[in-house]
Amino acid sequence: MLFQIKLKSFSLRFLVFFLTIVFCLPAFFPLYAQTAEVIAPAQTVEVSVALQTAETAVQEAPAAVQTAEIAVKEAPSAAQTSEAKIEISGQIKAEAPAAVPEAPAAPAQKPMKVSASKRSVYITPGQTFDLSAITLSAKSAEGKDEPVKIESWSADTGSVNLNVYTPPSASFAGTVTLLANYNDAGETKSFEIEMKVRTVYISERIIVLVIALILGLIIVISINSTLSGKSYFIRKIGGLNAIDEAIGRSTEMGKPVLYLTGLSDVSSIATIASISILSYVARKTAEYETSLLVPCCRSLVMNTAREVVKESYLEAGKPDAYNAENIKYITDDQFGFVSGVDGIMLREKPAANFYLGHFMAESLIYAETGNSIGAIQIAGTSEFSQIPFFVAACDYCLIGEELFAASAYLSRKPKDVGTLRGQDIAKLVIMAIVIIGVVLETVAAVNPGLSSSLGMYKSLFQTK
Amino acid sequence: MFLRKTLPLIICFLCGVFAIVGFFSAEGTSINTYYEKLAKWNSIIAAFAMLLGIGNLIRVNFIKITRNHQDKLFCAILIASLLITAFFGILGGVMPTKPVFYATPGKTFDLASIPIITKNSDRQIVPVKIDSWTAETGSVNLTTFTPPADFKGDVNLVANYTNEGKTKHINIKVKVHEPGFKEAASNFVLNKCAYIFEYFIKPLQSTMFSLLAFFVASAAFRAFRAKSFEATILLVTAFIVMLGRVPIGTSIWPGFAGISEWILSTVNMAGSRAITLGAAVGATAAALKIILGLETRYLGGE
Repeated sequence: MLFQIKLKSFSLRFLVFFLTIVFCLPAFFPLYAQTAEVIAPAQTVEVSVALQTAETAVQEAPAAVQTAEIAVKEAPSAAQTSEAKIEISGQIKAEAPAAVPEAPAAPAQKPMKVSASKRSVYITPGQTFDLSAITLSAKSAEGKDEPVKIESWSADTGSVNLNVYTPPSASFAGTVTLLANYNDAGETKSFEIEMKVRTVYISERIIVLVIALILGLIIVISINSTLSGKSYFIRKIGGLNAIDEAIGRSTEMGKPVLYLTGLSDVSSIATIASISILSYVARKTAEYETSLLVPCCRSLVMNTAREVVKESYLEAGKPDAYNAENIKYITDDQFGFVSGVDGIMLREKPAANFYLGHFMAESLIYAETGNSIGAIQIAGTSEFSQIPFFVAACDYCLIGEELFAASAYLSRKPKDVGTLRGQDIAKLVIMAIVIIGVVLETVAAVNPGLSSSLGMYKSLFQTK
Repeated sequence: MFLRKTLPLIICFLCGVFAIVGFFSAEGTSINTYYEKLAKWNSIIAAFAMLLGIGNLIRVNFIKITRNHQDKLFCAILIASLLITAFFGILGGVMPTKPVFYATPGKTFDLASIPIITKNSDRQIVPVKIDSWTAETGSVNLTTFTPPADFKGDVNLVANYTNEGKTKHINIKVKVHEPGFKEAASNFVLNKCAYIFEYFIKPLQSTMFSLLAFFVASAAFRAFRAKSFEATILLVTAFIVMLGRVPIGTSIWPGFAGISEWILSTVNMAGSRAITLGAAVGATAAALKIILGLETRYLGGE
């Protein structure tokens, strides 16, 4: 029996090794098939050549360059099974039709390659712009930047002279095209500069600032209220109540707890909310002396999670139980990470799985694999499209905002409870705004004369 | 304590306030310029953190190998794959690059090794018939190019072909010199990272993604069991939506499509917006807590 198991294990390892060799080597073999004279990539290659248009080229010189798409394909070789799209630069010369006699080629004089100190400039409405701030330069034959004299300026709107641009009116806002005209070998050419006349703030976003300030004010007032000793009722959240039960189950079964913070980096609010819950879960696992596995998709999350779990173990008075190797980075790749986590699930067989954070298409793969190993599963995400998968496949699911409310729910600290209350008041305000909008929309549908009021109301909340 | 808690909170507050002000600043203002730079810093920090992650990955798997762990073979494959991909990515670039053609002085170069193809009006790739070749040095005919025996450098070969009755030309650069290790090494690493991505990583990703089809079926089987009134409503709704989205449903009764669309655009959308609004308010509150230093658990401890 033991021999059979060893033989099976050896066969599996040999198969993996053999497949690795078989798949890896063909990638490199074609190189050895090349002759000494020509060393070229062994794949079929497609080459695109993009240069000037034919029309322009023919106008400029008889043998000008035109746009074309070509492809260079390698000769067949024994190991050619792959394809790679490759771009090279080349030239396609266009000849004038035979019936039209070609003019004798003039000595080729390259046009100056002019660059500007600024391609885009910005002013506020009512302001004039000092054009001396913009200079043109061109590369000399020696490769040095030499200034190009601007002969005149022109603009598609407003007034302009050699020194100053003035917008058409004090209230004008928009984009203006300024042309700096210069002389190139006796020919007048123009360099285009974009000027944007706008306010220093984005006026369409002011409503967002106002709402954020109101929300912030509500939260601060709520926190002060809770700090002064007022207590508030928090409704039961099944998924969060089950955290202790799930960790307890793992402890009884002597199996680890698996915790995932999702795909996003620490810059995501969902990840930070998840890390806050991780802090609580880690303290519990430390108290129960249960192993906690935290595979991470982002290296920054791994470092943050390590710090948080370490602190939690210290707080629980079990610093020795902390094992940094249990919080590991796997890969940034979405499905690479999924396969890594699935592997951990199948090998370690955790009794409790937590999926809290930002999840995408991989959510159901985790949930179903976790279900197949019989783990109790608690999930939570603010990503609407993934909530149905978690609801269908997990035992408990935190829906949307419950993920952000979790830290307050678990800690019951005044500042957290105050924030939660602030959130609820903000939601009430939003509900009122929505209800007013629905009423106005309905009334405007019945009485079209009121549609202007509806338009005004809508414009209040339009952002850019 | 100052370095572990206070300083990160100060940095977080300053960056948070700066990012908020930057969000409301118009393009071209100095605040907006630095706001955009701040986003780039994030990428740079993440790149450094990636090194930490890779270091951790190698360390964890290397320890398993040295401790003779039962999965040591997989650990070795993982480390080898990481090193091989990094080697080709760093030296050969991650994107397909231009092909380079090399010829040896005095020896013939087979022009058939660079047959030229183009896309026709139907966007199909077809070979281009070359009428003649010309070269600025050496001798060339329809099939071979021979650089002078004492020449070293780049030669522009011109392939002449006819397109819509007009003679056109394609320039191809051939490097002429004695074959050396540098060129061989350069070609060895060239494009291999793209190859690894195209023929190893993409199929593996597709395999994992395709598992979803089976998992959706098994999850649906469990979710749609009519154990309670709510589960029965879910089952009926899902059945109608499914029938409305597949051809057989509309063949049975064309009304399924309309009902399905109404469920998705009205009933489902109402729930979706409620959840999204709630989550947005929650995220805003969480962000405010972090910026104001009320939430410190992400720094470790309470």
